[in-house]
Amino acid sequence: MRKSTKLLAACFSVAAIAAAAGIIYLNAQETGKKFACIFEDGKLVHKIDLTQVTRAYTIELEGNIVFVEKGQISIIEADCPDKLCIKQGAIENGARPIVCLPNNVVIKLTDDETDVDLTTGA
Amino acid sequence: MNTRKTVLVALMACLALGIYALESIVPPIVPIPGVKLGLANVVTLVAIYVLGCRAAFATLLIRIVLSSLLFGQAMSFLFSLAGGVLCWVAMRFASRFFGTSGVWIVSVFGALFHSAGQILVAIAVTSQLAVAYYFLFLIISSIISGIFTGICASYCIKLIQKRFL
Repeated sequence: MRKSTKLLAACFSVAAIAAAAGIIYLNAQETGKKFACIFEDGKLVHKIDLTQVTRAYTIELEGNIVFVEKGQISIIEADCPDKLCIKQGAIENGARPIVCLPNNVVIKLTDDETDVDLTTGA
Repeated sequence: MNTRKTVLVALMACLALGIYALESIVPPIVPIPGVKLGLANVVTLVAIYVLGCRAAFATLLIRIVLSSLLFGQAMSFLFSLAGGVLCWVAMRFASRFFGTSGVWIVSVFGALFHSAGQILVAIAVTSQLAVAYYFLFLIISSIISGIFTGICASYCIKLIQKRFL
């Protein structure tokens, strides 16, 4: 029993380190995605080429306000109590999406090839 | 299930609900949905060891239904249920292997499966696989919070087994 406890403690440490390494790897690797896709209730509602933004502007969703700038995108207003999506900050080109679970809003970045059709949302 | 056990299940569910309510007041430290201490899981863990797996499941279900009704947002019932049930299944099997000496291991398994359940629901609800990115964060936070709640629970279990059983 003692031995298995030690083994599992080692496994958990390895899992934690692997997860941390995965985060660092994903953040380092996934670059050059310039399209921001905003999904509301699982449907694509906006697709923005972040390199083409000249003046910053906002987009109003049902419960959130999205702030679009040149090269980055963030949520600045939310009607949910925890405001986690605002605290997640701006995303530029990484693998990290902005998620607002109470309003079912996801903002993720893609590159040009994975083209998502605006009308079908597929 | 005799009367004594029924009353204990009700009391445990009450306790878990109270702890859950208190914990939900504390503002989140990290801006990642799902990262929390999960102190209510201490009660489920204690119930598994002291009352048995089935009674623990009853405790868990009562807590989830009541907490979603009282302070839940629209989706929180689904999230709690998926997380809670997976957590219970994982802890049930782990508790057979590790016994009273490895409560913290059981707790870490429970926490990991709880996060997995929540991420699965999040992927289903948002229909975005990209949400799975946050599972990497949840693995780390689950291990840390699992160890903490496991240690809390192991003290409780030892005390209860010494004094009351």
